[in-house]
Amino acid sequence: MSFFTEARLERYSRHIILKEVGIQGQERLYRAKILIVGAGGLGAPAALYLAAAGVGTLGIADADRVELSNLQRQIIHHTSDLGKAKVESAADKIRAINPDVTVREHHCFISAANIRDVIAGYDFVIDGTDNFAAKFLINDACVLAGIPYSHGGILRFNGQTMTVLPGKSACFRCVFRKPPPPGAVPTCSQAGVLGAIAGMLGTIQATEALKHIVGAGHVLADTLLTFEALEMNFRRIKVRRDPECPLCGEHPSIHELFDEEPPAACDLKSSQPLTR
Amino acid sequence: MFYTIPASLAAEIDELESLVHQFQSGRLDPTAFKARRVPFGVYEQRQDNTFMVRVRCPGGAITPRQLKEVAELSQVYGAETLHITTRQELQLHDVALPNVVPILRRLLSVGLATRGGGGNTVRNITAAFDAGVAKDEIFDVSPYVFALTSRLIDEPDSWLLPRKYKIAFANSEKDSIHAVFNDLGFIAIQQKGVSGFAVYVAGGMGTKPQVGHLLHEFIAEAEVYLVAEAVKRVFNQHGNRKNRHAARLRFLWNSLGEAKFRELYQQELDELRRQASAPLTLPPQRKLPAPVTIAAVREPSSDFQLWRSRFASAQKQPGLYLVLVPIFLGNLANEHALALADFLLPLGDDVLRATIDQNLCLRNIPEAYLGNVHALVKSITCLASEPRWFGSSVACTGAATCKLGICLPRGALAAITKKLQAASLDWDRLADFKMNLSGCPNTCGAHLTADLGFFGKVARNGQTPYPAYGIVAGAKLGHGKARLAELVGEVSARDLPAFVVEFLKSYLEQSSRFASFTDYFEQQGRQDLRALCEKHRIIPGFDDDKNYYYDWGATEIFSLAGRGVGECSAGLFDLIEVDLKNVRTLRTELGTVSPGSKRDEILDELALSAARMLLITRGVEAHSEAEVFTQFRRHFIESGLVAAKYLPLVEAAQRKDTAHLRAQSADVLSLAQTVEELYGKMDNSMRFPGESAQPPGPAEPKPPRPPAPFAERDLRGVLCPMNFVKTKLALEGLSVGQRLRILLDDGAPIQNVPRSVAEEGHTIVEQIKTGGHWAVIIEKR
Repeated sequence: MSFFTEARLERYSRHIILKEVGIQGQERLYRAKILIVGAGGLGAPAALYLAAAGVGTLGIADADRVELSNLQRQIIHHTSDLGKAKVESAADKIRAINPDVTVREHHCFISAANIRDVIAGYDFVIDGTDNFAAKFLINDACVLAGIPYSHGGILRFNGQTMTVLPGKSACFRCVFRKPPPPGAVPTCSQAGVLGAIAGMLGTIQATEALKHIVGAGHVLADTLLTFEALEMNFRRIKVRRDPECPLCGEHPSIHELFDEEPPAACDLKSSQPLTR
Repeated sequence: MFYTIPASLAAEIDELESLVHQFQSGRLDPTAFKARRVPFGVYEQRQDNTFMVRVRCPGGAITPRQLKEVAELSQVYGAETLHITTRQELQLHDVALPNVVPILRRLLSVGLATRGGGGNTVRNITAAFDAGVAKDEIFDVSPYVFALTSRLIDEPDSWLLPRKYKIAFANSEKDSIHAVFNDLGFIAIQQKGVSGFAVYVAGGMGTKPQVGHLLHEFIAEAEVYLVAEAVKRVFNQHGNRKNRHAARLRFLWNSLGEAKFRELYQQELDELRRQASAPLTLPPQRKLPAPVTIAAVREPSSDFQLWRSRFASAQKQPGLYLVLVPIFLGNLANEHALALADFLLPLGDDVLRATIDQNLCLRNIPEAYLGNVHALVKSITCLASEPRWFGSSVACTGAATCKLGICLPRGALAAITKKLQAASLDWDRLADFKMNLSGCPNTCGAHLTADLGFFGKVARNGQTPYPAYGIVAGAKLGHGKARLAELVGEVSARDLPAFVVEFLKSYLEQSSRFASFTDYFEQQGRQDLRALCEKHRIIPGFDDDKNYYYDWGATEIFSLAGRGVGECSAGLFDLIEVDLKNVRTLRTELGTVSPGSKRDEILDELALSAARMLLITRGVEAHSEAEVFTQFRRHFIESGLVAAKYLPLVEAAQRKDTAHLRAQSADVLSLAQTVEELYGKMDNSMRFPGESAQPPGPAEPKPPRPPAPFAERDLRGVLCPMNFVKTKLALEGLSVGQRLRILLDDGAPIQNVPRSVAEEGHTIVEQIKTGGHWAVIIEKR
């Protein structure tokens, strides 16, 4: 119980008051290790909230440097960070918010070659990437390693997210078998995105991670949550594990990690879930 | 000026000033400070360090000069509006502590005092707003109101009573001021050509309301002071100073019994007569000011005529008029108060009264100036173009600011008014119809004295609570015939506006057959109301229409969280009453219904309500039916409060074994009766016979539990919510069944921490006030 100094009791008091979090939940958060892949539009708000929440170890994986066009939505990076590695910029902010957090910087592109090592040891992964190849790779790696993760994607005014509990709930491949053909879906850079919806979705992902760690409520397992911000419509779409899923089905064909076609798109829009 | 300020007041304000300084520098304990400032009419608002100041206006009287001062003070130091209270006073809100004393001094300079605005004191003496001008009054009671005020506020023992002392004067047997619902009520009457008063004593609203008892059929005018003083002395010597919830004069009357009360009273009265106490010195008859000339506004419009017919009436003084100015919820904007004061200044001193409906009434207005008044009033209130009774509804603040509140009556009133307007019926035909709303069964919104009254309550659809209103109707006022409104049913808050419109529409259609609303109520209205309740009885489930689970004006789903446990016990009793009424109704229904599924339902419901009714006294709010029975077993059967023979029945009810309940229906009834009787024997600290101040431990047959080791935390000086956080941390280190003792400050900590702890499922075994703080024992669950 020595973790709870006066200052920490006060810092986390609004959590501790919650019946669903309490002292134990806050301790669990401190012991938890969460990886955020992509310190971009989704990863930025997620990282800020998870840091503030007192998650003991936060990993940030990103190979990019901060560009001017990022600043419209990637709120963990400031104008003064232009040119800096995103992992470094994010790590600075996280430490400034909460010195309780240990930050691990993974300054690399994730690929089939390295992802196994990157995700090893984490309790939960947040997918904040901007392309289908990475999303499928994270899904495959997390499912094979048995690490729960939150999928997320945004484009224009739309967002979608689901939480994957490997072996228990539908995985990304159960729903979207494989990436759409290159060019079928525009990327964020072509189609644009309203900055604030990155915040909406990233904070939902952070909430899912926190709920999973403290064991409160129900995560979006077997549920694809989509929203459309122009009319502010939210939809919950029930999805199921697919026995035919090449990754987690009854007769899986994927046993090894591989990279899908090179980064194609930013997800969403025409990539409707398979309906069955 | 209408009353004489005691010479000592200036020095007392100086003393208060030094107390303020001591408090601000931390040398005076908040509780001690509170005890000194409240009798000054200075209350702290919900927001810390923000105060309201209540100004004494006997009979609602205030001069334009005084009103102007009050409004200017409010502009400088207070909120944007003044508030008119249901005791005809004016209140300044949102005053910062350092500004309180400057306000009191400036009020003093214009002849206004706040002393007795609150606390256990002689409160503002009320009087019919039309006293002195009404055509049908017996005589003008105002001089007695002013003289009695001046006399009583000059007596030191008026500030140290066991509880508040409320006095009212009616100017005719109609008793429009509700004198019979005051601690002491004088009603002007004539006996054999001599003017005097009928006197009522020990009436009151609040918890356990009652109509006053007739103390004197008749007393001479000259004895008004003797009566008020004798009652005050009885109260002072014999009143209950221990329990403020049972301290009002009516509790003394009830506990002493009528004969003993009269005997003690007679002794005091005889003593005062022997001493030949000086009678009241009545203020000189007010002379009307010399005719003034302000430019008369002539308004021949039909708009004006309609307004005039609604709000203006001729006084007994020829050519002069009384004009009612409805003020929505009694909130009068400072600039409107100033405009009114400026308009009235040339017309004299005696031109304004506040009413107990929280409205204003202008008086002594020459007919020629009614047009001016109309122009002014239109700019002050939108109610000026509505039927008069729309503006006479009283609605307390309810759950918006009151900790006892259950519903939001002001939101409901707004919704009702909207619905009435949309119905476009001839509502003027209802003339002086009175509809009042309270946010809980306490009667701050005066629902029990209305033609149609509503009080907030919790209803449940299954286990899901929703806001509802109990419906009372048929109150009668008047010397010798007063009675409180009677309970006729309940309706969901959601359906309330529709309910009101449907009911009043139906009354209008039939009204020609009845002499008055009370006649209608007795002959037909009671049945009509019950039929309407039945029509609205079933509400949709949560998933079908969530609106029923939101109160009017609320943005969050209605819930009991934040009420009940941990709150003042008065609110707690109300919650118990909800189930109690349910139990009583079901017991009656059971006697009339024939065997079948309906009877089975009643049995189920009766067992559930009986088991749930007293759980809250143990700090338990069960969230499911099963939990109700589990907790009932633990707290009432295992503790020995309820006989163990009911255990099989409770277990059967828990597993919904309808056949068992059907076979043992006599036992269900006697269980309900047992619980009712237990409640009847509960004391004000929610203990049952045989329970000591110690925690309600298991009764004799159970082997005594080894004394659990106490962990202790002194959380005095720790603010919310850190005190709760630290309590949780301490509980974390205990195992189930172990106990923790914590010390908490009075105020927000004791109101919030135990409640929050209980909401997490732990048991509050005991909470005791010692000195200025609380010791709370918690058992970990």
